[in-house]
Amino acid sequence: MEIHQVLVSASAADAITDSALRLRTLLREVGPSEIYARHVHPAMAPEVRRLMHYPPPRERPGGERNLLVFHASIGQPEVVSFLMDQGDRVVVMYHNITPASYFSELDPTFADLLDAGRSELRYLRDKVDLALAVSHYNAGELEAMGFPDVRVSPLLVDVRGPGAVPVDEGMVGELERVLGTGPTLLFVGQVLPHKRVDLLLQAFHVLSTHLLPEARLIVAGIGRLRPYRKALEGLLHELGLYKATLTGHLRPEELAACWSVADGFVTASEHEGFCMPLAEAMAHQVPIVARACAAIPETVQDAGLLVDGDAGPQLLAEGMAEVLENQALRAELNRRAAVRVRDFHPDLAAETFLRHLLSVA
Amino acid sequence: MEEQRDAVDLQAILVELKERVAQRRASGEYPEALEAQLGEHFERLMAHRRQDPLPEETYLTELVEQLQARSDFGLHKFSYKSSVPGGDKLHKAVGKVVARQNASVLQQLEHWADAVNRTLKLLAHLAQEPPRHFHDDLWSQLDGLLQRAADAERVEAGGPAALVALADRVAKLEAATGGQSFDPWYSNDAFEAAFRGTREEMLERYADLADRLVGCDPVLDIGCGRGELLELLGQRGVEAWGVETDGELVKAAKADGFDVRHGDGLAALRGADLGSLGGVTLIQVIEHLTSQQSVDLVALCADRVRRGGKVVIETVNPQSLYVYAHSFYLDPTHVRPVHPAWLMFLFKEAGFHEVAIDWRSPAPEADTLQPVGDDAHDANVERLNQLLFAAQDYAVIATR
Repeated sequence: MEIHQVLVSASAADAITDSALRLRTLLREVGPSEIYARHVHPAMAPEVRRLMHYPPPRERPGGERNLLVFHASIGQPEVVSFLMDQGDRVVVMYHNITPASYFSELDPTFADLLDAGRSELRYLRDKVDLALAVSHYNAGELEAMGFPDVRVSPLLVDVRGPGAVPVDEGMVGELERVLGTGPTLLFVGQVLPHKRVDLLLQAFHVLSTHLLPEARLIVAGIGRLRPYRKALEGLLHELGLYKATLTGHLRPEELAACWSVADGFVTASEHEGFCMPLAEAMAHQVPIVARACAAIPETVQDAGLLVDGDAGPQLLAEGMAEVLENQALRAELNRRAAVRVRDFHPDLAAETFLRHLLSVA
Repeated sequence: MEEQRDAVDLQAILVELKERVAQRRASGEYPEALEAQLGEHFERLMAHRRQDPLPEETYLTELVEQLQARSDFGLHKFSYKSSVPGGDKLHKAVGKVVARQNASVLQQLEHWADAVNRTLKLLAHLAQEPPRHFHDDLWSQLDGLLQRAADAERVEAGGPAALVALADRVAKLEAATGGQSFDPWYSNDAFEAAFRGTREEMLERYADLADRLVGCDPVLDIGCGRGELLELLGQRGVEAWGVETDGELVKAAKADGFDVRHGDGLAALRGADLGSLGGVTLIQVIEHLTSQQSVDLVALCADRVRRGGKVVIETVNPQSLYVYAHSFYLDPTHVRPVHPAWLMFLFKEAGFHEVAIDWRSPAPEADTLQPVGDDAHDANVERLNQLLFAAQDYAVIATR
């Protein structure tokens, strides 16, 4: 028996592809292991094989059934029919599927794919030998879809702290030139509707108008959805938020520069399956303020200031100010973060993952 | 230090933050309905974007159209009208003089406007429809190249798929050029009759192997010949069918009422559903296969035979030198003898649970070296007997 992984699409700088590559390194310690994907970005071609090249049972020397770990994130009928037809055992790893409602108006095609992703998961329900979720929040979603026995297997991540990537000093200077100086809040993540960057900018407007005029906000991440991005740029312009910036795509060194100047990490996101930047904020000893939505409370636990899940701009702004100014709170959050971040050690996640696989292998 | 930690109570901080918001609202520091206004403001921006997803490009097209409409220069556009009576004629006369003087300037201006128009049209077109096909072509070419490079790397690294493909090609070449293309003028029937023994002898010889397959229905007998093993299996109530490459033997077996199909054994295995067979037998067949066909055979058996099913392969024993002198080279279609240790290894590697070996057809006692009564010599005689006169055949019985 061999253990392989199946993705819908593999691309560079994609969290799911990245975790699949880490899992592959782990699985290759056990035996031969490949990643197969329906769509393979050219940059990933040396690492990831195409789904059509997956060897059917008759071409395998041992002929035994393999174990396929399917990373579920978006709809793709061909991948699902492949999983149904192979005769191999299937373990689904649920990374969460963003609710389609966030995209139904802005990108109907993408919204349809998200919807399809959930329907396909229900369709696969009786086929899978084991259902894994990267958080209890995700496990809850799978259970709501009718999966009988869902286990939690944390994401195998390499949470990088300061020093992992050299800081681009030019970027530090550029941020100061554009935004001036002042206590700095950082958001890291894709600029998409479910991350509620709009609400974040509104909260920053409240913060800089009424509470901390010197504060800076860096929104670091790509905005694939042009209308949303353009509307945010409009908001930035019309509210006169000259101490806030949407960076767009950043190189790792530039992102490291953002972390190096950050005094607080903030997110207004409504939907997260895990939220990796929260773990990175802990590793960088940057205190967190966030809304208590989806998997965020589970990831943060007591190592960050969480305001209500339905908090508006004013309460979030108070939280931002508190995290930047309350020195006792900052020290305590950093202490707790240093403890909490140890839970994300890849060895722990690896052990849990392999133990779950062993139970069905 | 401990006191300071206790002082940090996140819930208490949250309550305090909410109070501060309420106070700021009450004191008028926050304008009334500020949050609602901010939300509506963004909604308006979004509504605008939803309707007009690509404003710059559309605007560019409009500008180009306006320019085109305005760049239709020409003498006919000069107006000679005048409100003064008789002024039209004067204007016309003056206009003609001016027009004559400016005609070439006008012509140059027209040419320039045309060039500007063409450039702007192209720019507008490019802005709206970037030449994606170039990108796509390049991407797909690059994609293909990277895939090939990746495959090449895997071959170097001993990737199983690449090796199987390579071995398949080698086997095909071997099949095309090797002993398999042997095409004698005599009938196989005559050969069998001369060297293979009677049907009764065959039935007696393989009865024990048939016993081992009870409960392993259905059994596929590859290279079933006239159907002796099928007959034995039928007698034991085991459902069985055979494949045979020799058309004459197939006819004979069918005439005797056996379920025999004309064709290649490996192809028959490939055609069977996964786990659909209870048993596969090859009696004196594997020595006719190439090495690649042998490894493929075992892999296919692992795939097609259900758990608990059996594969029985009987063949000549290369550990007996007597075999080479008497039988192996008698059949010109033998490709190579198969070593029992290798065959056992193949089945174990393919994941079979139990692999047993059964030594068969001892060399005739009369042919072996006889002891002479001297212990030292007899020990040597024994060792020589083992080397020269080991069992002529062996059967591997592998349980899936």
